[in-house]
Amino acid sequence: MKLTSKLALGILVLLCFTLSLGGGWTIQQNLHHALRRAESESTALHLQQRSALEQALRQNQAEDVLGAAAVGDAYSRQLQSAIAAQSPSFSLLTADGTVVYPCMDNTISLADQLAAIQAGTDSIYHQSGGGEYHLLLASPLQCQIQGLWVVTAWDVTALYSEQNRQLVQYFWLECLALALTGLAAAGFARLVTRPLRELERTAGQIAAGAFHRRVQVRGQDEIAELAGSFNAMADAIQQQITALEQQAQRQNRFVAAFTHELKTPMTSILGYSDLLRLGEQSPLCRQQAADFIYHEARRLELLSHRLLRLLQVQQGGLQLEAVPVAGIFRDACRSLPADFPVQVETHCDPAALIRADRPLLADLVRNLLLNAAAAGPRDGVVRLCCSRQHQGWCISVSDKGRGIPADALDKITEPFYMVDKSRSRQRGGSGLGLSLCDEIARAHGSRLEFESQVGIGTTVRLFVREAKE
Amino acid sequence: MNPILIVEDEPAIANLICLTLGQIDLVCLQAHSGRQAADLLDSQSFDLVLLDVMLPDVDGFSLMDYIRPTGTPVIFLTARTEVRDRVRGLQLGAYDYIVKPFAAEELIARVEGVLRHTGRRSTLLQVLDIEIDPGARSVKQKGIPVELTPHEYDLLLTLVHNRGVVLYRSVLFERVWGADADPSNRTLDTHISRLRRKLGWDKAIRTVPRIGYILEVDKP
Repeated sequence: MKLTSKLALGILVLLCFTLSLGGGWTIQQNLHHALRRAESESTALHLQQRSALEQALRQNQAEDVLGAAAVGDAYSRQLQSAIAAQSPSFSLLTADGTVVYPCMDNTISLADQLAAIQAGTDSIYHQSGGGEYHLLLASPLQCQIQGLWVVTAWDVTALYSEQNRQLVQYFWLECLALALTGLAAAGFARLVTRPLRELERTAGQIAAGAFHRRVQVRGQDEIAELAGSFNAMADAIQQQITALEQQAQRQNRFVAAFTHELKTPMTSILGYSDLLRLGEQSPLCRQQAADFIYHEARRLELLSHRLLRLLQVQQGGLQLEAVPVAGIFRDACRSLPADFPVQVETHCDPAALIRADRPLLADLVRNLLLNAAAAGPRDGVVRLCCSRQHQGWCISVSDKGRGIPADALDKITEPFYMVDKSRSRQRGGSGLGLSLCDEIARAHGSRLEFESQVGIGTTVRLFVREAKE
Repeated sequence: MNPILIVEDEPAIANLICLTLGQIDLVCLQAHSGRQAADLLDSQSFDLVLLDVMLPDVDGFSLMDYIRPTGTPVIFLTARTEVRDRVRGLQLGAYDYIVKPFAAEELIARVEGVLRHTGRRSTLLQVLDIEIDPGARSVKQKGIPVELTPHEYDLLLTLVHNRGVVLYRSVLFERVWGADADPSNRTLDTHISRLRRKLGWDKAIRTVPRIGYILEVDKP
C-alpha cells in the first residue's frame, strides 16, 4: 500500500472513531437527560393521580374490590374528559396480582405491572415492548381496602424515537464529514508525500544514468533534510564517476599513445630486418637498414626504461626524508651531460630543507633543466631557484627559450605528448619525461605548474613542503 | 604515371615504404608533416596517398578532407588497432588501411589492390620477356599465357619483386610455402628448375651456391 493511501486512511479511521464515539456519547447523554426530566414529571403526575384516587376512594367509601373498580372507572372517565384524546393509563391492582381496574395500554403486560410494584414506591420501572417505551410508577393507596396499588404508565416512546432520529441524522452527517475529510486527507497526503515522489523519481533517473539530476529542496522539514542528504550523496557519486571516467580516459589515451610509440619503432625494425634477411642487399641499403634498426631499437630501450621508472614512481615506495634543496640542485647539475649547451644559474637558500626523495627529485630537476636547455634560451642561461612560499619552498626552473603554445600547456604532462614531435625525436625524447616529472611531483604531494609565453620563455614551478627539524 | 605520396612523420618508416614499393616499380615521394603533404598535393597529382593518422601538426583524418576533392585514393597507415579508428578512416573515404607493423607483401598487395580497383594505372609488371598480372595471377610470355601452379607463381613473384638481389634459400622458401614448412627438402630446387624450363629462363635465374637464387635483370 502506498504511503499516500496509508496516510489518508489513517486520518479517516482516526476521524471516524473519534466522531462515532463523540456523537454516540452525546446522543446517549441527551436521551439520559430527557428520561430524567420525564421521570420527574411523571413522578409528580403519578403522585397527583394517587392522591386524586385516594380522595375518590375515601369519598365513595369503597370498602371492597368492586367499589374500588367503580371508583377507578369513574376516575378514568374524569381523566379522559379532562385531557380529551389521550387515554389515561393506570391500573388498580392488589399486591398478589389481582387486577381491580385495568385502564392500561395493552403493550404493558401484567407481569410488567407486578414488576413495577415489586420495585417499590421510590423507583421507576422502565418497560419496553412492541416498539414502545413506558415509565411505570407504582404506589400503595391509603384507603380501607388493604393492599391496593395504583400503577401509572407514562409513554416515553417519543424520547427514544427522537434518539433514533438524532442517530440517523448524525450518521449521515458523519458520512458527509468523512467523505469531505477523505478528499482533504488524500490531497494533504499527496502534498506531504510530493517531495518523496520527486525523490523517488530522481533516484530512478540517477539509477538510469542521469547522474546530473538533483532534487529541489523546499522548506526545512525532515523530507527537505532527506532531499539535502540525497543531493549530497548524488554529488559524491557524480564526482566519483567523473573521476573514474577521467581516469579511464587517461588510461585509454595512455594505451593508445603507448601502442603508437611501441609500434612505430617495431614497424621499422621488423621491416628493415626482413629486408636484410631476405637477400643480399646493396651495401648502401644494408648500412641504412642496420642504422635504422639500431636507432629504433635504442628508442624502444629508452622507452622501456622511462616506462619502468614511471611505474615505479606510480606504485609508490618513495622515501621521503629531510633533504637540503641545495643538495638536490647539486645532484641535478652534476648529472647533466658534459656537453650541456647552456649555463645553469642557481639561487638557493642554504637553509632550505624539504621533505623529499632525493634521487627522484634530483631526476625531476635534471629533466626540467634538459627541457629548458632544449627550448634554446636566447641568453644561454637556465635559472634554477628556490624561494620560500607559505609553509614550504618553491623550486622553479625558468628559461628565455621559445616557450610553449597555450593549447599545449594542459597536455604537456600527458604521457607521450610532444609539443614538437620531430624536434624532440631528434634529441631522443620519448614523450614521457614530463609525465615522469609530474608523477614524481604528485608523489611529493604537489603538482608541476607551467607558465609560458611563446617567444618569451617558460617557468616551471614546484611547491614542496618544508621538513621539520 | 603519377608518383605515390607517402605522408609519414617517421623517416625510417617512410623510407621503408619507398623501398618496398620500389619493388613493384612505383615511384614515391615523402612528406614528413601534414603541411608538407598539403603543399605537395597542391603542386602535383598523385596516383595514391599513403597516410599516417598520427601526424605531428595535422591530424591524418583532417588531411583526408583536403585530399578527397582531388579524387586521389587513400590508404591510411595506423598504429591503432581499435575498430573505431579504422572505421572512421574508411568512413572518411579511405580505400583501405594498413596496421603497423606491416609485412612488405601485405603493403604491396594492398597498394596493388587499390591501384587496380581505381583503375588509376596498370598494375602489370614487365620483366624481361614476360608480363605478370597480379590481379589475375596470370603470366604471359610474349603475349602467350604460361601455365604456372600457385607455388610457382608465388616463387616467380618473389623473384621479380627482389630482382637483382641474391635471395636466401630459407627466406625464399618461407615466403612461398609459409613459415611452418620444412626448408630442408628439395622442393624449392625442383620449383626453380620448373620455372626455368617453363619460361626458358635458364640464364636469368642464377643459382648462388649454398646461398640461394637471383633473378638477374638489368634494371632500367
